[in-house]
Formats: sequence, C-alpha cells, structure tokens
Amino acid sequence: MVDHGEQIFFKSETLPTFTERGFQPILETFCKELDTLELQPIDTIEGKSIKLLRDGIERPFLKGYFKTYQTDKCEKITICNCILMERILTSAVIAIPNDDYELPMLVLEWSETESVISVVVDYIPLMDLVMREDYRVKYLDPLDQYWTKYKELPGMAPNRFAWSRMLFSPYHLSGHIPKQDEHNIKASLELMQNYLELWIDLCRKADPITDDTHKKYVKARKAQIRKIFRENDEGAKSLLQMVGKEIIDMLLLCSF
Amino acid sequence: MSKLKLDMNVELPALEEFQPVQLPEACWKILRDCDFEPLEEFEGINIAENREKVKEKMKDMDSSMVMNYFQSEKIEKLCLGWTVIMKSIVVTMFSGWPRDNYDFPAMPMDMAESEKHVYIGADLVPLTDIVINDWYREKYLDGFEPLYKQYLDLLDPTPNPMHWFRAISSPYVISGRPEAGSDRAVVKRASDCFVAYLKYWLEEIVAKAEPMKDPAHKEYVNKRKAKIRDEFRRKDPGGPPLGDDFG
Repeated sequence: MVDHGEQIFFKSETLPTFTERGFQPILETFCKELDTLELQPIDTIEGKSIKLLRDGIERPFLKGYFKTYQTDKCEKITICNCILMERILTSAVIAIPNDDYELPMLVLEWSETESVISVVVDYIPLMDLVMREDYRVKYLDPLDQYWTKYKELPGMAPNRFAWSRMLFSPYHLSGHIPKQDEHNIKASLELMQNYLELWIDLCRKADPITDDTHKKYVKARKAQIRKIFRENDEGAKSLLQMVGKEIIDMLLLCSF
Repeated sequence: MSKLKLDMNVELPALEEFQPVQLPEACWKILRDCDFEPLEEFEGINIAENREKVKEKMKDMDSSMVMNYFQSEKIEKLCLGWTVIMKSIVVTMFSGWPRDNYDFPAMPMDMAESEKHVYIGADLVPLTDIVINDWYREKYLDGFEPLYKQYLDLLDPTPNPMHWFRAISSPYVISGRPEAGSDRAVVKRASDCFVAYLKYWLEEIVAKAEPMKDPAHKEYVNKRKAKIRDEFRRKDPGGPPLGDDFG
C-alpha cells in the first residue's frame, strides 16, 4: 500500500482518504487487511445498480463512497468512507458470507469527530447461539482475547437500541471513545484491525455448509438480519432528509 | 399465612457492616397471594431433603440459606430465596420457568449486596431465537423497554464478563455492579428494579400467556429451555449449591 497524500491505492483503484484533515488512518487500516483477499468489485446488487455510490458522491452534507466487492465465500464486502457535514468521518467494513457459508457477518463501524471516535464492532452470528454452542466456540470465542483487551476503553457503553442488541454476539463492543489520550486512539485503531484480521482468518478457514436444512436456516436468519438492519439503521435514518431516499436505499443495499 | 399456606422467612438479618435491603420481603409480598402451590419434588429430587443438604453445606461455609419453591398451572418451577455468605454478602435469588406447554420467557434474577457494592442481574430469557421469530420479541419482550430504560443507570459500561451468559441474555438484560454508596440509594434502586421485573413478568407475561398449539414449535421451545437450564447449571458462578437451586 502506497500512501499518496490524501489517496491510497487499493486493489486497482485509488481511494481518497481523509487523514490530511486530521482524521485517523482508519481506511488505511481496513485496506491493509482487506488487501490480502481476492476481492472482485461489483456494480449491481439484487438487480440494482450501485455505481453511483461506487464512483463516489459529493453532496453538501455527504461526500465519499461505498465500494462493494465479492469473494468466493462472501456475497459482499463493503468499504465505506465518507465525510458528513464536513466534520464527521464515517468509515465502515461490512462483510456478508454467501449462502454456502455460516460464518458470522462482520460489522465494523468508525465515526470520528474532532474530539471523539465512535466505534461498533461485532461478528453477527448466523446461528442461534443457545442451540449451537459449537458455533459460538468456533466462530466467536476466538474474539474473547480482543473483547477482554478493549472492553474497558473509556467511553465503551451498552448499545442504546434493542433491535441491535438482539442481533449482537457476546463479543459486541460499542462506545464513544474520547480522543484526548493517544493511547485511546491507538487502541481504537487496533480494535478495528484485530476484529478484521481475525474475521479474515476465520473466513479463509470456513468450510461450506453441507446440510440442506441447516443451509436453509442460515439463509433465513441472514435474510432476517438484513431486513432488521435495513429497517432500523440509525445512520440511514438521520441522513435521509439530507441526501434523499434514492441514495439511502442504495447505501443500505450496499451495506446489508 | 399466605394463600400459598406457607410462612417464608423473608427477614434478612442485619450484618455488622450494613443493614441489607429487605428484597425477599418485597418479592414475597407479590408472590404470597398468587395462585401457586408449594413444589415438593422436581426432576426426581425431593426438595425438602435437598434443602437440608444445602443448609448443611452452607453451615460449613459459615453461611446460611433460605429457599422456597412453588408451581402453578403455567409455571413448573418458581424459586425465591436468599443466602448470607460469610456474614458479609447477602444474595437474593429468584427464578421462574414455564411449564412445557408454554413458551413465555424464563426469568432468572439475583442481587448481591455487600458493604461496598451491589450486583444485580435481571433478565427474561427468550425460549426461541428472537432474530427469526420477531413475533416472540414483540409479544413477550418489547414491553420491557420502558422498564429497562428506567434502570439503565444500573448497567455496567461493559457487559457481563461471562460469554455464555451474554449469549443467552435478552436485549433487556440488566447486569451491573455499581458502588453501594454511603446512602445506599443505589442498592434500593437495584432492589426496585428486581421487584419491577418480577411484577411485570408475573402480571404482563405469565398472566397473559396461552398454551402453545404447534407441536414443532413446542418441541423446539422445550429443547431450547433444556439447553438454557443446562448452561446455568454447568456455568453459573454461584455453582453448587446455588446452581442446583437455580436450575
């Protein structure tokens, strides 16, 4: 990865970043890990073009892009990097396995202002963890080392929304971390990197589902999770009036 | 004597370091006039005999315990009790489990009070996968939202450290260990939360619950209930002897 001022090279593209505005190198952190995957860019999802967001949008309240890719095991991996109202950097990686795999969905969200970094990190299980303890052990418990390391970062707090708490794994973390302390900033970046790196490792090791009934259940649960996110996503709700329904629908399509 | 024809010892003793909140008494006031019967045997275990064994074990640990078990048409096992551990911690425990023909959430709760801290764990554990079955969440859980929000200050900033517990919990779990404070107002708030969850569960959930009709759903619910119970029995840090009673 070569850093060219406000741009980084990722796969065959040059992506604008916002480090020169004083924001942390979160896109660089994401891309460094994702660069190890064989990502194929996609322009349509569920029969709808997402080219507008892939090419990047520039509106008074929202500047940035959503780049969506696929791999042999993932139906989509979306990288988002946007500036809201010229003062908030929002960056995210959301990865959803394709119907042959049961590994959890990856959700990493980073929202940064001059004083605070808001984070959400989780692996959203595609199984009922009560009935499938082995799933938790295989895909989620490896996160314990990182969850334990970062759970007491200043500003960590329970998520406010019941709809999201019901989807989350036992290793979900979220909070608003103050930027005053260099250690907090470094730890926030490491948290993102550790969750992403481990998920990529789990993805590499994942085997396809062989049982048809199980596959059907995983698919149904994934569809339900997607529906819940699309109906409730708070970021989309707050942006709706600023950028309009067309952009929001596309944004949700890219993300979930 | 209550409608249950039981006199439960609900008076927590004063300890040297603090005067505990009388939480068992507050719970008993709600339960004593409910249409319950004493439970004498569960899963082949004679409760009276087991209670004596537990009491003996507790004595060896310089501790004491009072536990009472009930049942009703809809509830297969309801447990209310308290224990004083080494004359310095008072733990009040409550758990309620539906009979096999009902799918309403189980309710495990405990509150531990010491001189410096109070721990509260209160939840209503769903007996289905609430991601797939959103009707279950709407029917049984969403009504808890106002109560949950009322007691958010009791939550720890980071969730309960036990991953198995977090995997079982509902979105409305209250789990926290705030400082008791010099006026012990936080302890009173934790006790109020415990009582409010219990009251809502009995009056809004259990009272309105209808038997399951779909055999496949019933089979799944009972499997899930058994899994949850097994997790508590194997992993609850109260362990034996408390774990035995919580089951």
